[in-house]
Amino acid sequence: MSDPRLKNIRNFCIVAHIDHGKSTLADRLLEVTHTLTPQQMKAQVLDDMDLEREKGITIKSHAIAMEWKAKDGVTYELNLIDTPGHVDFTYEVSRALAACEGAILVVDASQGIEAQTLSNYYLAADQKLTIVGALNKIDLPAARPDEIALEIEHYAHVPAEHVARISAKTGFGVPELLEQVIADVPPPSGDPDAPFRALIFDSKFDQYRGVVCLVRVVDGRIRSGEKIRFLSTGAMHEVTEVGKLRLKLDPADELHAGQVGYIVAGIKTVADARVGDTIVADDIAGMEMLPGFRETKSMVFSGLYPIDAEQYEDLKEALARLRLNDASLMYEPETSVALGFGFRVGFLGLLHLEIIQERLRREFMIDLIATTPSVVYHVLQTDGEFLKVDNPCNLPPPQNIEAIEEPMVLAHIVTPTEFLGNILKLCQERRGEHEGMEYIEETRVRIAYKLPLGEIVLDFYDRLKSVSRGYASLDYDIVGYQQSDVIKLDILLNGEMVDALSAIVHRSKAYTYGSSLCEKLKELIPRQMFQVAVQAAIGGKVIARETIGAMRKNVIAKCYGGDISRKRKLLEKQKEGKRRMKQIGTVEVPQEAFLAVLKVDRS
Amino acid sequence: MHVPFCAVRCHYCHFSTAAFSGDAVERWFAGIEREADLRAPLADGVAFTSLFFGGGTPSALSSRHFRRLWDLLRARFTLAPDAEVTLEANPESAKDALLAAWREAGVNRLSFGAQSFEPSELRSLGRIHDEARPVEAVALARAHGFERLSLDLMYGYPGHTSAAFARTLARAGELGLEHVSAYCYIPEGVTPQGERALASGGPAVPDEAQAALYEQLSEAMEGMGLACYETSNFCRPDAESRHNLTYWLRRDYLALGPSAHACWRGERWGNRFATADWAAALERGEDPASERERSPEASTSDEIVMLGLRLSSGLRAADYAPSDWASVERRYGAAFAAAQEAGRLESVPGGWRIPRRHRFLADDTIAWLAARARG
Repeated sequence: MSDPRLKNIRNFCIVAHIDHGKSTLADRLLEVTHTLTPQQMKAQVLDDMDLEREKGITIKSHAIAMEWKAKDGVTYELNLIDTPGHVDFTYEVSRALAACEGAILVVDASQGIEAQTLSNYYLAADQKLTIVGALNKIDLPAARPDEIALEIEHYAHVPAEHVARISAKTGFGVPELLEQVIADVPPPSGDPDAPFRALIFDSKFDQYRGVVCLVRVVDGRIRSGEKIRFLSTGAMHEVTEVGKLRLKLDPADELHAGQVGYIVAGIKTVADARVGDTIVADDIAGMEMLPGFRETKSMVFSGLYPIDAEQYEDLKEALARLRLNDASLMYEPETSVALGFGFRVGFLGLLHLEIIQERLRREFMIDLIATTPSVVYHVLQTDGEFLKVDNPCNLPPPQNIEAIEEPMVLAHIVTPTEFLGNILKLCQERRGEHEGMEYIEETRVRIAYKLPLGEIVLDFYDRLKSVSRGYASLDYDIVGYQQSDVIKLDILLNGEMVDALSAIVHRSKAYTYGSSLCEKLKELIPRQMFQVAVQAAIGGKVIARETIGAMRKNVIAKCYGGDISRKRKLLEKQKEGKRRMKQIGTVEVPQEAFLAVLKVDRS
Repeated sequence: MHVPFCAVRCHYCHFSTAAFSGDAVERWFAGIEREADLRAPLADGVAFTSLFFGGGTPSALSSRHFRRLWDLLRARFTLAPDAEVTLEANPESAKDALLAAWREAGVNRLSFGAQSFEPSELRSLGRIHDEARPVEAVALARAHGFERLSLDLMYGYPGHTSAAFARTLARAGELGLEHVSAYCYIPEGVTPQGERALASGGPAVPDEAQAALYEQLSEAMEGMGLACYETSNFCRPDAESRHNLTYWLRRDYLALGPSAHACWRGERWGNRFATADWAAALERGEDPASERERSPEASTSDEIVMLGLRLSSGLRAADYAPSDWASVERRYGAAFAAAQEAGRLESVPGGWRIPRRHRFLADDTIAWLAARARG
């Protein structure tokens, strides 16, 4: 039972498939609760990073406190926690959900339930959250509210007649939805008089305050000046500020059980305030950690190299700055024979990788070459030693390998039935194992496949979208490791191995992959003064080859009359071209060639 | 000295030319006189070692006009006693009266534009002479006592074949020439033939074919006792075009006439391209140059490398002012050594050169070096 002092608090989040209107609904809630004046209102205020707005995806968790005078005459404290909207951040989502008692499950009234709707629903159900169903975009002509409400009833166990009908865009039904949240979502449990305990569901770096921990206080209370301890690290800090999360940080005297807010305690980097960690009062021993904490694990690794070697220090600095605010970003120095000095960087997933690369380019103006993303392989050596390999170059020679395991995912795909054939074929090509299939409605089906993560990190999502004309949606969970016949495929240019182009691939695909990579490289590497052999090899055995014929002509024939401007312009252009090349042995390789691996058809 | 007039414009040519009329010639003369007055003070105390009449078609000028031009120049500039004086001539215009006037004035080198000895090719290139004419022109020039004769040839144009080139080279070989310039065809968008070639899309002639023709050319020239001394130029020993070497060794030169380019004491300029624009500027009392730039040290050394590596003798310290060579060494020293390592350069006494087998790929090495130059 909830403490009577907490009965006017509601902590909830909104979960939805991408584009079903989560952020728009958040905007409307802020508006109807007068949390923001119209002047402060800009589209999707909670997505405050440019990239988030562009991609229409929330990357970081955000939270905001609102006040609402309900029909019963009571003013409620409503804490809305906005969660990241991508499979890469499933763990972060689960921690944000753990800070709530309820979730509004938003479903587009014309699209119906999609893969992410379900995966988010399952996450919320795992946290035992009360689900408030909401059909959005009911003002659109294509809306099918009655049918979709039944889908929600079937899959999310919310009675169809109890599903709210709203238009987040116009605000229709939004006040009623808030009343429903207050009625259905229970107030937080927790004891304000018990020893202090709080869950960190996100943290961010603030230039002036240092790290700001976003927390849900589970028990007790906290004030500035008190000493706290982080259970995962044992680190002790003194609280300098606590407060509520409004549009800006809003200092308060104290936070107590059931509340959502922030704590500042002189912490230097977000890596010291990990998502999911438990904060306790320093002077009380034997406190237990809140359930669900997990060390962040990088799922995808890529080598990042500055195109201009002189930007190495800039890249180092930029990664350090990004890590201040992103504890899931892991990196260490790495050298490549082909690319020089760079970093091996670990990411939560492909979107995370894309975001980091894009931020390095935009915010830090660093031009990068990224090597083929790789997953982490588990290698058992013949000498009994166990290795984790995230870089193809570190794979031991075949004779030293007893077995290799690769990470697997359980993927759920929701698609209109007309694309079913294409999608099954795609999953089959990616070494998928069919796990099940169920009809959501007559024309829509949900398929389950177990797939190697390595097969989906590169272009699976793009391919899925293309074979389903954009209609299929995807969600997946990591489900452990499985033994696999994968091998290292090397690329040689005139006999010289190019480490940055090595890849770990399944034996059954090595030939196709090797041939198409050679073909692609032949297209991208310009003719040189001599013939160049482009070879794909497994353990020194060549399995595919292309030949780039020698350059035959590169000279401007006429250079007389004293006008050298034309020749100079040409030289300037050719010089710039040469500067963008990486010299590998005797062969000059343009930057685009290193991106070829991303474009090779892997099917 | 750029003489812009031509009887007929060739289909491949993009040089500055003008219609030939009495008025046009008078206006051009007036312009040359003004420009010569303007530039002569720059060359005070200088004895020029070479003078080149190019075009256009300098041989389009009558003997009377040529004498007038000659007198105009001699009144303002000094020629060294052993100066090389070259005139570009259309074989068609090589007649007794003109040859005599040239010879009498002091022209000692003639460069005939032949391009080809194949009748069908001459027609498609838009040349006004037939295939026999260059042979007659050479004989007549010899009869007038010209000891240094050069022939311009072209190869690698659309439709050009190895067999046709062999016939042209054989005919050229019979002429006992001191010098041959042979240029690989470049399609120019502003010319009728270039437009045809470019409109067809893709390279009009594959690099392989042009490279093979270049190889054929080099062999034929050797057979005629002419050695390649620059990418597109071949000669008997000591018969190099001194004038063109001035450009390639980046020495000072002045320029007169529309579209003419000068490089003089650290500054480059180029005159307005169209004859009428060039003349109008001079008539207004303005400098006819439309582009002008000081050469900073870096671009001077880039130019020295870019031009010098076209020469078969290579890029040699002895050919340059010590300060210029020092800057080449400072910026390019490491790049030269790396290029030798990569087989792109070979060392010669006091310098470097591009190996013979890479002559048709010279620009690749020049750009490779430029990309690695310091500062």
